[in-house]
Amino acid sequence: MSLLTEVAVDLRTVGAQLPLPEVCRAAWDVEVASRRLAMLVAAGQPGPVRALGAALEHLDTAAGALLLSQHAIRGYLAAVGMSAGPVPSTVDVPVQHNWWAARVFEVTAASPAPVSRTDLLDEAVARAQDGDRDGFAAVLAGAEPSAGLGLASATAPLVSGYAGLVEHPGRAWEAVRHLVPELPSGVAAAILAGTPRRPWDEHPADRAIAGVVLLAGLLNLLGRKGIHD
Amino acid sequence: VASVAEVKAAIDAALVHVQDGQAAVRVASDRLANARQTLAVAVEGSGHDAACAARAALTQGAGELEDALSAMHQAVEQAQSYSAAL
Repeated sequence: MSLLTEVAVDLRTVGAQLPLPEVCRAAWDVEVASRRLAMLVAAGQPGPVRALGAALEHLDTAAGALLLSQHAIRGYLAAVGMSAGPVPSTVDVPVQHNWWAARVFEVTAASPAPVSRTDLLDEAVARAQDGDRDGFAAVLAGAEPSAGLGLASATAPLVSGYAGLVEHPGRAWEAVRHLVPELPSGVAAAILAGTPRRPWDEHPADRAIAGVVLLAGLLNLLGRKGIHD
Repeated sequence: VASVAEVKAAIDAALVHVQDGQAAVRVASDRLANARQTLAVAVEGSGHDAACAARAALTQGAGELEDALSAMHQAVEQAQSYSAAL
């Protein structure tokens, strides 16, 4: 079996592993439970029904994400010439979801109108150095996902170089972490420590976003304006 | 008019469904974790938009399942607390 064939088999395995039936089953149970607890709302105790409503929304979103991943996997297989699957139905075209921008908005807790810039890294670093969270989010969200992801590899050597010039690189992060209040803890520390990437442990956008913020913090600590100073 | 015993019985019946739902979500989370690992290994090194989108969607799915489980746990606690106070 060729390596490409193995990749195709693995990706089809992923499709088979997706737990859509379990998620649908859970949603059904939650809905039934919610109906049975409706009497509590009338009794002035809406808490359980509200919590179940929230659970149902999360399950719906989870199911949507699983379907989106199925479409993306099929698209990937087709794009690299490994698909022998049927042509997608014209009434079942997946909604184009800008997952990159969605993640930017999530970790920055800001949702400005995206701004498209050709000098993505320079502009994003400038906004981050200014502490302009909305501007930073707008510039990042305006990038194509592939360009955004590229920021991880673009910033890594710069972060490494500048971190070697300061005594306490961690302080650089402390000064700018407010730009990404919802970024999972440990991402910046892993970048500074050079910890190898474990793909299933983090969102693929996180290192790219954190790399820019960390770079801005280091530049501020060094008293430099931009990466060309 | 429902008696306290009937209300408690209805709450218990509802919670059985919630617990079944929680079990299904746990199974779903386990399967999704396996799928994420398989996908991550298969597309490691790929910068293709579709591969990244697939990974991001699975990451989001896992988070949503955790949040769903948390909300269901909260519902159980609140319902049990109300039932005990009746």
